[in-house]
Amino acid sequence: MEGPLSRSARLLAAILVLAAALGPALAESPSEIVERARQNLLAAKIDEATAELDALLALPDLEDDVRVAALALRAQARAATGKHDAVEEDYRAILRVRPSFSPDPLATSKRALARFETARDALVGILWLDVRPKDATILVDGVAVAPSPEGKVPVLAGERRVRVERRGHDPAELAVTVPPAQTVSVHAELVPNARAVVIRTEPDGVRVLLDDVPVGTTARPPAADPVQRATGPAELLLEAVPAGEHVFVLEKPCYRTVRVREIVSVDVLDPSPRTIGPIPLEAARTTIALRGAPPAAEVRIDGERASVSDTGEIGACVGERLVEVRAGGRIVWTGRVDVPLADRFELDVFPRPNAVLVGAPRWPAALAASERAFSTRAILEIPEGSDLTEGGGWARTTLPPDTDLAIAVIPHDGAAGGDRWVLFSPLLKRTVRLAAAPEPGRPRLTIPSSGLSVVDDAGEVVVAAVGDGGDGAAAAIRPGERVLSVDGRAVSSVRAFHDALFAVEPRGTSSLRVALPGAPPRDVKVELAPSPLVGAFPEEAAGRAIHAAWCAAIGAAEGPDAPAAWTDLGLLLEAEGLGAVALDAWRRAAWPARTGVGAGTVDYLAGRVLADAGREEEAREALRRAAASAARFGDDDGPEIAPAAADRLADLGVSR
Amino acid sequence: MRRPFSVLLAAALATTVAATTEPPGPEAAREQYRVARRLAAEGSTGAADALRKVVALDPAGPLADDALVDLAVLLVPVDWPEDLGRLPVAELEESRRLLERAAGIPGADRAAEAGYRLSLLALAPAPGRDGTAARQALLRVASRPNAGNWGARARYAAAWADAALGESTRARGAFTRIVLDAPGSAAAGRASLRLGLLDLREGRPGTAARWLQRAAASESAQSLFPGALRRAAVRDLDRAAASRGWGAVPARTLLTDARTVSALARTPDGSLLVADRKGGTVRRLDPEGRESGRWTLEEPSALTVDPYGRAFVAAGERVFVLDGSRARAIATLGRFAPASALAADPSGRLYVLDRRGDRIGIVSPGSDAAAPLREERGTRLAGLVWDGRRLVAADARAGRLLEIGPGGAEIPLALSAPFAAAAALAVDPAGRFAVSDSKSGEVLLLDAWGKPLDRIPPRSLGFESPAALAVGPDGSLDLWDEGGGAVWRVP
Repeated sequence: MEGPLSRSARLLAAILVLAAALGPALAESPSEIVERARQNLLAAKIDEATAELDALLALPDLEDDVRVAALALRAQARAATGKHDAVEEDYRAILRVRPSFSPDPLATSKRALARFETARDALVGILWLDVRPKDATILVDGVAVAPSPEGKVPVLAGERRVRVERRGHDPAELAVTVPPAQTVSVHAELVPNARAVVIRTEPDGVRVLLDDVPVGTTARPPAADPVQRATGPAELLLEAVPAGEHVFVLEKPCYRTVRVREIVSVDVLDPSPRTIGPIPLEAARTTIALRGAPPAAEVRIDGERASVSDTGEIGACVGERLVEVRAGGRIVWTGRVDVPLADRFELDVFPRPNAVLVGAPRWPAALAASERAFSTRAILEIPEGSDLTEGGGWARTTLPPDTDLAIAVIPHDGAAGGDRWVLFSPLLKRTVRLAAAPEPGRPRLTIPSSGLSVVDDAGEVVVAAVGDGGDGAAAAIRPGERVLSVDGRAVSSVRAFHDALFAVEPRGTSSLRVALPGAPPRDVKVELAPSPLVGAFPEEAAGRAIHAAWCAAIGAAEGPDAPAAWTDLGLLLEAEGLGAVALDAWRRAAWPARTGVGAGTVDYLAGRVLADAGREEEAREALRRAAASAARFGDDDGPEIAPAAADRLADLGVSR
Repeated sequence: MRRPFSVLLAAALATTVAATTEPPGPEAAREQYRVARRLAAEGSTGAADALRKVVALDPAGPLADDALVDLAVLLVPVDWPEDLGRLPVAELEESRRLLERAAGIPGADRAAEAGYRLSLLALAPAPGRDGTAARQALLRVASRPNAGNWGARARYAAAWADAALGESTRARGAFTRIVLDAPGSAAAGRASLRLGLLDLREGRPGTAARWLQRAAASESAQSLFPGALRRAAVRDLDRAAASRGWGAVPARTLLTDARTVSALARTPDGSLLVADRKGGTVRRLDPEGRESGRWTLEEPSALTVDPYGRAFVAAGERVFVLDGSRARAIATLGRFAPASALAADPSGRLYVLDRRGDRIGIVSPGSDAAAPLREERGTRLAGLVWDGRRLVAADARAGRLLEIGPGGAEIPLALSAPFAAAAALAVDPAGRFAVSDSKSGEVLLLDAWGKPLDRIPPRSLGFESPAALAVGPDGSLDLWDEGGGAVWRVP
């Protein structure tokens, strides 16, 4: 079998031969040659036209349309010169290619027409087709034909194979002998094997799957009056659904999916479509109760802003949804949530860091705790040629906005050992190679404070001081008393005392058994007040990076822990030599008026950085405020700030 | 596999030749420094020479400052101001020169450390001490950018000097600053302890206890015995809350048949020194009361422990320092002998009260004889102590405590003390005074202004006439009962 290439090659060779004869016509296509021959013929340049057409028709593999047009023109040229045998020869050649051909009677002489009819009567017969259904496709010798309105089709006389076919019907095929110049009737009635089905749904826009294959979406038919809205049920026509049992799945976001099992039968007498429905789809929305969402948070579901009720609830479509909680100008929680069909679904959206995973399609099993703790902001590939074990490699990695932390999984290039993990903190500009899975949990920024300062003394817990006006003072506990137990747990060390208190929520009540030496014990209730906890972050680099990430998220959420979070973030930034950024963090630490850790604490820290930066006047102002405050560092029971501020002021030439 | 000895010898010789023939330069210095550091870690006597060789191989190289500083530390192993009492004075000058040289090397990475150590040595209780200049030098180190923990140490040492001068507000600010700015550092642990002592001295036992709790958690503060000091703070809390001070726990005798005790003193680790004049001994009893040391001296009459923990004893005509297992004479007392009391200040000066309680002599660092500080004035003094910031004596005939000022001036403390006449005087680490009243026989604890904090009524605990006193770092009281001939401990 010759391929298209060889055919093209032959055509090219023939064109080159023709070009040699035609000279200037070298670049012309066969159609252009035909057209030029037509013009020559109109200009009575018959010899010239004939020569051109002869040369053209000598080419093998001419397209049928071109060949028929060229032969018809040559027949006219030959008729003009009286070569009627040759005319008939051309018509025969035409009819062999195209039995339905007939010359233009206005441009053809009577004698030529007579010759055409002679040729046609010798070569062509008529098939008179009567087929059911009427719109069935008819093929004669494998070639589709278009019968006349009466159903007639000219065909070459002889044995012909007629095939009638239509979707949803069994095809019919038969052999027909067509004598020249005669008409042969053919009747074919196809037997249906499928049926049109119309699926009707309420609402519209329902995706339809037939036996798990998507077949379309329902839509409302246009109203008769284009001005009016379409009101009828939405529908989808499935033209030929094979007979038998089928499953129709109807699905639409935010609606419960419906599965319909139907048997489609074929009725020869009733070809009308089978109608299923209208099938109503039940809306499927769930109320999500958000827990831990920051006040005035903006919630987006699948990118669309959702309306949050006063009680912190939102409505959401069932299914996997991308939920984003934004506060303080950034994402503070995001995650893909599989919303179940339920009356109410509780979702914890406590602010957490946004992490980016780099170099792995999913979180490694060993980092499952990190996956749970952080919002996965994005999963990226390692940029080609980047070494993410160094800070420079991260500089070439574009992280999405609001990224607090990135963890790269770097495949181990040797035979032994596993992947390496590298943690990058965009906040602290620090890269840390991880030797083990990090501890990703939320840091404690608040501790329960009893208002009591306790110290160890020979296996006893001694109350050293009672906070001014604190709840401990209200309980009338006196310095020097021993704490024997907390909530029934005996305590013999300060550590045990704090462990027992930490088991209580920051705001709660504890029962203390206390006694003065040699005096009978007494039980007192102590209301625990939350105390901020600042500066209590890990020493190691990975822990600091994670702490910073949490602080950024918690700070942005503007909740009760936000001032402590901003304060800690500033401390971590300062420790990394990023004093200017630290100052920004401390500016955002909006401490309420309170004793203990508070505004004075931040004033001291800011004054420290400002003094180191040589901004002495600003440093003096900040340190003066700190020196005049009753602020403390660490927690509300921590060291007083004022003496240290005064010492720093002395460095700046301010006397005590 | 055994190798023939000749092969081993050849290999050793080849190594030696290679080591000795290597030309001077950074690489040779680096190798030599590795060796020297190991020798120093092993306590080898060759470490000093090995370090000197590092400098010789590459005098301006990157390891020259390391070798110089290490050598200086090897000669004078002092890290903190509290260590200054144990520095070997003979090596002081060379150590200074080495540190000066290290600090002067351009770009030296241990310049801050060298500066700190150099400034610290200037605080040493040695001849030529200039506390003011030392403080300024320490503040310069503390203010250096990138001084890191050496800056914190320098600030600590400067604040320590402030506290010793009675500048408690200034010291408090600096100590607090260290705690805030260098949390977790060795300096912060010690600063917490110092803040506790300041609060204890100023009558705030609760906050003192909190600071000392912090210090107790710091490894660097352990050598200063924060646990014992915290016990003292809790004792004060108990006194205030439950009138539960001395005597809450029964007193016990540490020594019996002690009829000629002349002086008692407590060391920072809680040991008790007992001088027996007629027995001619000074005994050390560990915190449990067991004898852990003994020195034989002729007529020991007075004892003191200086702020660095060094114990001094006046015996006969001379004053000795108890150095390990021997007593080393450092000066003669001349007309101040025999001494009835000794006191020592942070600058290294020793104060000697004569037997009559009239005259006070002073032995300055480097001096081998006592010089007069106070001549007879008619006031008879009983006891002489350095309370952490000043020299204080008790009036043996009237109920008052006296600060002995410049030139021996008597400056009564703000409040008159509620005792008739003092028989003995002692001071605790927080500057509170224990006084035994020769007339009533009771023992009183007075705060820094003379206000009574505690008392032991006469004969209430089993002893009759306390004639020598010492207060431990934990606030426990030791006394010699002259009448009963026993040494008692009142927990």
